[in-house]
Amino acid sequence: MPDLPLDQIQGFVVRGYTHPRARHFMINIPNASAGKKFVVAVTPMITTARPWSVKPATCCNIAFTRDGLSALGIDVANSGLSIEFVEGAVARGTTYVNANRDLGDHGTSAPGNWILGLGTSQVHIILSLFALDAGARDQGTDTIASMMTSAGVQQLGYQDSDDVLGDSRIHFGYHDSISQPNIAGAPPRKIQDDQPVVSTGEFVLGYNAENSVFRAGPSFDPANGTYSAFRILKQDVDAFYEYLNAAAALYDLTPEAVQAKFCGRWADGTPLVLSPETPDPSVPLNNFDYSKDKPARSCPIASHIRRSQRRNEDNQQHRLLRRAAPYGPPYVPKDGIERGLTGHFICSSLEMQYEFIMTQWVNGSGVTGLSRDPLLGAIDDASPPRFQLYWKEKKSTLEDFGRFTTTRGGAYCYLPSISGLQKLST
Amino acid sequence: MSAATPVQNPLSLLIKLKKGEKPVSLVQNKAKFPDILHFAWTISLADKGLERTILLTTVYDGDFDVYLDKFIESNHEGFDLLLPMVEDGPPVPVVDNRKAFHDWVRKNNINPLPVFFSAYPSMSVNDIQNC
Repeated sequence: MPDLPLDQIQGFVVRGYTHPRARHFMINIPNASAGKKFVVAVTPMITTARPWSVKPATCCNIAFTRDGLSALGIDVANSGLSIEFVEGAVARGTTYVNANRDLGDHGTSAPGNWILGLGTSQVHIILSLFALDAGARDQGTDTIASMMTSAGVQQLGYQDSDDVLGDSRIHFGYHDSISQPNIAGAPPRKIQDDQPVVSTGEFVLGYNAENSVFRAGPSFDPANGTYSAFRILKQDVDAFYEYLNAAAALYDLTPEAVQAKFCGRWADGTPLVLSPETPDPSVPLNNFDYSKDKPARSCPIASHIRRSQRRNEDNQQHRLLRRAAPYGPPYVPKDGIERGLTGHFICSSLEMQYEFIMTQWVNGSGVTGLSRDPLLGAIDDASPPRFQLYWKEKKSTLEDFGRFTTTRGGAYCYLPSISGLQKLST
Repeated sequence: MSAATPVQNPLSLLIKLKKGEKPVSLVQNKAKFPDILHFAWTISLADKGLERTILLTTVYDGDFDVYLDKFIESNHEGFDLLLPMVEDGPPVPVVDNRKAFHDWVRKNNINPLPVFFSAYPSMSVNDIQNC
């Protein structure tokens, strides 16, 4: 197990901050010298993985798109960066679309409809500020704004997220962020579980990934950096709750049961395999696998968690760190306000982890050929819904819901190490 | 998924052994197979005029390259034994030479003529096992 240099690794790679407020700034670098000036100024603000004794009021992390690295003078095609990063989220999401390689970014989710400059070559840096409260976020914003002005880089806009409901509850009602990988060599997570430890190199470049395969970093930053998919995902909360009620009436279920079957957990996080008929606060949230639920009766194979993290049903090569949180105010029916989920999905191989999960499991037939992920999948006329569940031994097949989650923005990012950041500024 | 496009796909891989190597069955009962593999079998084409040639036929779910990666994961020891016996075989160990392996399979795979028939076009291995 490698001894990780925690002061070299960006903090949100190995730990979830649990700061409830975040702001992701989209930044354009008009010329290399302005960009380098900004990187020099912001580097001392970047939160590393070093343990803290007192939780800081704000944390800050930085991500570069391929256009951003290019604007800083990096020859992106010849620096040992991964192919999918060099091609970028737009090309990967559109060029490779076929039955087996669908990232879901089409129709209303197409890059042409994205916000904040995402989907164009203008977004160079995504700077993420995490804060304990809204005041601290505004204060951090002032600091960052003056750094941007004096360096001469341009802010294209920002995306907030607010964990206003507490316990990482997303607008579809679920307690989120329960299961995160245990990374070899990283400080243990606050809430322990019995899930396997995943090789360091699955999340940090410059170390061995699963099967002892070395995962190399780019030439300008050989170790301790990593990649992410930044996503802004709009959730159609009205349609979701309307469907839960409609399906409950139509199939003789309860709305809570439909909600639980779609996810694989009850809204409070109780795993269906441990408590199939009711939420149970006494069961552990993440000590389970699917070995006792095959054929699947408690937790549908098509449910979100069973298909996106397969536990005993696959190896540890397709895991993701989810650093995302809800945006938009607490749900009020039909108020017309947009709500969703935004943040970084971190991994050392976008192809083997983020893209694999999205194309093979969420939108593909790698887990079930019947239909896509009911919560996250790109469900449309070409890929209609078909969700099978068992409730109290009766089988129902739900075939009348639409796409609940659409893409509002995306970018493939490189998250440099601290020394990589210093390299980028010279 | 529309019923017209099955989630299952065929692979028909021609493997020619080096001189002196004996045809072996590539499908070992002991091997672990990925849960996207429906069927796999081999036949010898020696008495059909193709000496030292084996046809490996499989039916799998979804994407070709993903399937090969999963096959490498579950059976790399088997490939490491087999591939050195193969004429123009890719280098081993296969886990460190994935691209060469994919290229070799792609080159020696015989694409089927239309149509690939499936009686249950939307059912993956996992769907069937969870019925």
